[in-house]
Amino acid sequence: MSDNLENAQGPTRRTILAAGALSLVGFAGAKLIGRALLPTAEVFIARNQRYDGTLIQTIQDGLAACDLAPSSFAGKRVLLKPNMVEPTRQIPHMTTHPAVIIAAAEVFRRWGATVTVGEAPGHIRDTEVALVESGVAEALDDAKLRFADLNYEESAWHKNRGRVSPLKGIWFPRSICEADYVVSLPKMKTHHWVGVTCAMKNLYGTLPGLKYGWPKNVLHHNGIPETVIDINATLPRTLAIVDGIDCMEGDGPIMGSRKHMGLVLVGANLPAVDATAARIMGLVPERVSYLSLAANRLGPIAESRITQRGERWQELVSPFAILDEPHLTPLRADGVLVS
Amino acid sequence: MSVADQCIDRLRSIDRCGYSAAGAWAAEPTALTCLALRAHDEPTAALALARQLADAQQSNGVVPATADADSPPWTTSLAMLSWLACNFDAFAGNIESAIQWALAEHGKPAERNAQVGHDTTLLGWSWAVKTHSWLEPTAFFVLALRAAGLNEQPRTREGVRLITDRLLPTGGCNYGSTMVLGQYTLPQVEATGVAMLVLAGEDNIDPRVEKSLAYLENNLTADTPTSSLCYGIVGLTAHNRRPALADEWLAAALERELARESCAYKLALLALASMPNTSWLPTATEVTHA
Repeated sequence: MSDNLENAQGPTRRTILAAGALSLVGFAGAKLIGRALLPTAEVFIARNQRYDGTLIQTIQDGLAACDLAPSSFAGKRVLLKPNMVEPTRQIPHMTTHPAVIIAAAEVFRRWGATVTVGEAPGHIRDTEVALVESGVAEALDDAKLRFADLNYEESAWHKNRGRVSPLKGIWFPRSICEADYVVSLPKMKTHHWVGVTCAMKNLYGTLPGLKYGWPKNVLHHNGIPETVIDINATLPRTLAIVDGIDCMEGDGPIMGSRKHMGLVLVGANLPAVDATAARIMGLVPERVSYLSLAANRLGPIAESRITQRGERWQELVSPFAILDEPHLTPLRADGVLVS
Repeated sequence: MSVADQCIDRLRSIDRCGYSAAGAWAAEPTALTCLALRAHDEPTAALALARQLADAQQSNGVVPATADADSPPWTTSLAMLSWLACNFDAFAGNIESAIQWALAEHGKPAERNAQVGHDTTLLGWSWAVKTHSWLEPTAFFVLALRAAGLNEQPRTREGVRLITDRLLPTGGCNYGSTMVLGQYTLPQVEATGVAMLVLAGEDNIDPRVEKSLAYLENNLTADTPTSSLCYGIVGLTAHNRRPALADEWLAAALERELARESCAYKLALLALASMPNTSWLPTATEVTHA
C-alpha cells in the first residue's frame, strides 16, 4: 500500500537519490561553468617607487599591463580625482602626493587626452585651503593643469545605477558628467569606520558638497558601504592609480601615522585594486563591508579572480596598524599582528 | 581705490551670483553679495538680489542652495539675512515663512555615543534634510534668527550651545566634529571665523572661545586663501580684535582673485571683511524700526 502510494503519488526513494545525484552533477557543472564565466581583472603593482622617481614610466607600464592602450585615451576627457579630504601641511601622508597627480596627468596628456584634476574635499568648505595645504595648487600651476572645484560646480542628477542604498539618484558635478574616464588617485590608507580607504571610497569626493554638505552626511545616513557601491556603479568609466608610496596606518583617513610602502597600484577594476591593497595592508577584503558588497556587482575581489601584474602582492604584505575597535579588529587577516 | 570699492565696483552690475565667474546662480553668493552691496550703500543693487532670493523661495519657506532643485535648504538662513538687511516690510512674508520653516526644521539628533566627542543630542541645522546638525548651517540660522529678533528663541539658544560644544579644547573648530574614536580633530580657519562671528555678544565664559580667537590670530596671514581669510577677519572683528594687518591681507587676497577671474562669492566676502565692524549683519533693533 505504501509502495503504491509512493508510485502513485510521488517519486520512489531510488528515484529521488538518482535525481539528486544528477542534480548534484549538474549543479557542480554549472558552478564550474559559472566560475569560469565570472569576471576577472588585472591589477598592476610596482615597488620601490619614489615621489622623485620615474612615476610616469611606472604609470604607463601599469596601464599597459592592465590592457589599457594609449589609443583608447586619444581625444578623451580624463578627470583625475586625488584624495584631498582635509589637507594640512602637518599630515602630508593624508593626501595624494602632487607628484603622483602630475605624473598621471602627463601620461594621459601624452596619450592625447584632455586632463582635468577635480576634487570635492569632504571636510572643508574652502577648497583653496585644501589645494594650498596639500601642495597640489602649486603643482597644478606649474603643470598648467585645470582644476575643477567639484564642491561648487553645476551638477546634474543621475539615476542611481547601484540601487544598493535607498538613494534614487546621485548628483554629479559637470566635470564628472562630461568625463570619459574618472581616474581615482587615492592614498592607500586605513579608515577608522570602514577599515580601508582606497580607490572606491576616494570617489565619495566626486559628489558636490553644495548638495551633500560638509561632511557629505547624506551618504553616511544612507550607509557608507552602500553609497560607495552606488557612486562607483553610477560614475562614468573608472580607473585607479594608487599612491601607495607614503601611506597612512592607524587612525586614518585623517589622523593616522605615516607608513612607507613605496608602492604604486594600477587597475581598471576598482574592487580588484582595493582588494589587492587591503591584502597588502594585512586586511581581509571579504570582511571589508563595501568590498564584499562590490564583489559580484562591480568586480572581483577574490584572489583567484585577480590577475597580478608586476610585483606579487604576497611578497609586499606589511600589516597596517588599525585601531583596536570592535568594528575593525575582525578585518585583520588571521595571524597578523598589528598594534 | 580700497578693497571694498574695487569689489563693490564689480559686484554692482552682477545679475547672476555664483561660486565661479561663469558659474550658475546660487543662493549663498547671491545673499552675500546682497549683504555686501547693502552695507556699502548700494541699496538698489542689493534689493534686486534680495528679490532674486525671494523668487527662489519655495512655498514651504525654503530658499534652496541652487536653482536646479528644491533642496538643500541651508541657504534659507542667508536669504533671511539679506531680506532683513534690505527691507523688512517688502519681504515680511518671505521672512515669516522662512522663520516658520527654520523653527520647524532641525538636524537629526543621535543618542550620545562614546565614539564621537560632540553632543549629538543638541538640535541645530543640517546642510541637507534628514541629516545631522553641523556647525556652519547652524551658525547661519542662529545669525538669521537673531537678526529677526529671535535671539531668545529656544532654538537660537540651542544653536549657540551647539556651536560652543563643537569648539576644540585647544581652540578653533572645523565642520563640527571634535573627537572621533578618542582622537581630537583639527581646527580650520573658515569654520572658526564663522563660529566666532556667531558667538560675539554671548557670555563666552567658555575658555575655548578665547583659545579660538587666539587660534585665528595665530593662523591668519597674507597668504591665507580668500574665504578663510575673510571669515577669520570677520570673526575677530566681531570680537573687536581685528588684526592690524587685515586690510593689507585683504588687498593681497583681492589681487590674487583678480588675477584669476574671481567670482561674486569671493568678492562679496572681501567686501564684507573689509568693513571695520560687523554692522553689515542686520540687527534685531533695525528690524523693529524698519
